[in-house]
Amino acid sequence: MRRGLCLSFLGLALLGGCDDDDDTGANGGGDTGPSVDGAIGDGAPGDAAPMADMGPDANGCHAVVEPGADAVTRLQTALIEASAGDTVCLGAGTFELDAEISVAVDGLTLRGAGPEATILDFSGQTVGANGVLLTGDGITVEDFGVRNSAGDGVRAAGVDGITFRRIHVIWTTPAQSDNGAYGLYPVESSNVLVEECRVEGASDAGIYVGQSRNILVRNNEATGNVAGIEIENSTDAEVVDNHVFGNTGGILVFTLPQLPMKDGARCKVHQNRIIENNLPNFGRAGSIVSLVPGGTGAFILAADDTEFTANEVRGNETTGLVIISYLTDILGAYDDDAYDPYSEGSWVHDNTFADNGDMPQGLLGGLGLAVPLPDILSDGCWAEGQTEDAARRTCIQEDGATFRDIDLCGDMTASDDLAPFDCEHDAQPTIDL
Amino acid sequence: MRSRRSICSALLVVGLWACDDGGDATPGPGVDAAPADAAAPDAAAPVVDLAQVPYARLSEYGFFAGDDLAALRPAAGVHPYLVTAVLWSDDAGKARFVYLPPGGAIEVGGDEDWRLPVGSVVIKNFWFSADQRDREGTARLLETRLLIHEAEGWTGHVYVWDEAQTDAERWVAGRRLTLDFLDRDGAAQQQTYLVPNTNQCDQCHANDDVTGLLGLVTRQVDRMIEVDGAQRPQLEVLAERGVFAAGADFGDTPRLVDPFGDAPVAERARSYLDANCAHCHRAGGGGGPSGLVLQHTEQRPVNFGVCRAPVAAGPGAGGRTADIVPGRPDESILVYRMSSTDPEIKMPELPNLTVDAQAIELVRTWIAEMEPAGCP
Repeated sequence: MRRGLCLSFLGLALLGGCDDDDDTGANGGGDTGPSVDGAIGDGAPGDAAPMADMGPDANGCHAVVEPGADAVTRLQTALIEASAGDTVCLGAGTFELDAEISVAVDGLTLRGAGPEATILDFSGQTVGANGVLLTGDGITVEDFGVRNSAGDGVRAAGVDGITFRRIHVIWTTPAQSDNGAYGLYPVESSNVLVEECRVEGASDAGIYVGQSRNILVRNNEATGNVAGIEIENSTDAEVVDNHVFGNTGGILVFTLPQLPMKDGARCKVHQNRIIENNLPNFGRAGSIVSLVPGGTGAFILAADDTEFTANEVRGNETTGLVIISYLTDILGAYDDDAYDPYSEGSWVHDNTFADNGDMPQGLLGGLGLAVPLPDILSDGCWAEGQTEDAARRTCIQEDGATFRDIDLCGDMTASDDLAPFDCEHDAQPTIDL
Repeated sequence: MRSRRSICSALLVVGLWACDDGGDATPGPGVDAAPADAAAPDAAAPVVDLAQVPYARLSEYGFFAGDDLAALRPAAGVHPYLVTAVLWSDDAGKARFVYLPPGGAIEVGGDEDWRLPVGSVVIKNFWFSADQRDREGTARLLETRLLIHEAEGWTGHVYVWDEAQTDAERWVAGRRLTLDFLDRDGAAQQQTYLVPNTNQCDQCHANDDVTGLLGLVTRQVDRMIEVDGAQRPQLEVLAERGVFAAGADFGDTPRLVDPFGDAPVAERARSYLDANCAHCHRAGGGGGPSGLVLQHTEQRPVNFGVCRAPVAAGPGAGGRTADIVPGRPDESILVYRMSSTDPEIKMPELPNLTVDAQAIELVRTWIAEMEPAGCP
């Protein structure tokens, strides 16, 4: 009987195509035909040529992977077989990928032919929580696009040294809560550079830097996301020259409780264009950003020593900039003795605010506050001694910006008077990587 | 094709039962008393040449004696072992071995402080039953995963078995296998099984960039096993085989319990989560940034999820507001994510494609019994 079963199982297996390789959509989708350039092979044993020994080609590529059949296998094999410091190049065209791609080799560069020329299309993804996962130190990803990843677009987890350059992460169905959470997502990392990237459609944050140190986010575009750019529980960050428009909230500097990295401090947000971030919030309930009111230009939440200067903040219908503490009534209870819920040491100065606050959405729309809301709004909640402490008080020096302190932790006696905030802090340094 | 009976019978040669049945209610020893094959392996102990690894084929390591590799008859120096709480792998069964180089022994200084000599290899074979109604019957070997202790540390490698079950070939990029089997109702089913790529070894095995062992820890290995019909402590049996260096200190970290045994439900749930989630959900692990710590020793309820708000879960939160809402499994993110196969939502992240229904029921029961109900 047992032997009979065994034989019948063998029969089934043969008929059913046991060991059939990945047959779920990577075939025949490319418009450039099967690849051959890099001699990467199909990943079968003995088929992965040690390209590193041969040195790079004229384009500096140690391996080249083209779109076409078995793209996951060929690309993943090239990335695993690469040596530290190698450059793996992606040909132009669309790579149909149904599984997460990962890079663990230190110092590797993964380079496409351009952010709209080489597309990693994850529309058919069934495996992996990210499109591309980076775990090696000193990795550069540049010049390719990522489409419709199931979860995050490109995540760098626990790395020292990561450059995202000219990466376009786009979910092609706008404002879907099923879209992935984060477009570019370095977390628990240090020495992070995000430049000339574009992120569109993320259901949480387009560019999200979490629990990291030494961060430069410059010259990027973020649009159609719940949050355009979010710096969370991170220290020593510079967010400069970005164009952040058409999101629910533009730029968020948050420090949240119950996370391993407790601090969030010294973020310099300057020279950004923060324009018409009026998208109704489409984040999934349960996430913190799902509470961000549509129409919010920028948001400082429980972060310390934030400098916000020389930004253009225009046409954000709820308000231009919110400076707020972690309010448990709104954001939920936490259990974390080491957490400081107050925004301390903020310095807001010399920005251009215009046309903000005409049509508040969400929580701030429902507080019964007089419309228009101001360019700058403070909850008026202060840590003990904060307002008397020159280093910790909130400083606001703006000509022509409207302001309101809504005194949420007092008796809600609102005040438009900026005089108590007329002070300055040391400028936060720019970040040099 | 190879029957599991022969795989497991072979293990009796060395007096140690080392097949588990992939998460059934009664994993472990005792289900088969087939007599051992007569000849103990007297082949020379394998010598793994670290300058040559990883080999292209599993057979080149010499871990398994005889002509029939799929029988998994361990050669000298290759020791089978069992763990208490099994990682869910789409209901695949596993046979685990550790190879120690000649003269080598494990120095143990505590629960997770198992120091294997350079040259050691930890071997995990994955198999799938042809007929879910007869899990002692015919099975197909799918893949064998190795962790090799090289001079610089542990490296992971994956070997995929051929259809004829004669050998397994190294495969780096991950692969999908099609499984044909009869389900518990006897109906023919087809299921995709994911073989991980070698980068993915570290998604579970690396902590703070250091690759380490998950199964060879005291809390998993210190359990009873059946040897020649008698229950014996596994550590004692392994010690008799010379596996441990003198002065082993196994530590006093509480041991895991069988998640589907008869311990209190909270202990069983915590053991399951430790084995299936805590490799990531701990400091330094891939899930570390979430702050959710699922080691069974974590004492603070908010740290292991009770009324813990999600931060970066995105759609993974499923509209729920806490990882665990006491008394309310349906409102708990933990249950939601264990119950999903959507790649963005499912937990664990790594490539299993079917949910562990028995474990979901366990965790649901645990949460349902928590008091007081609800979160502030």
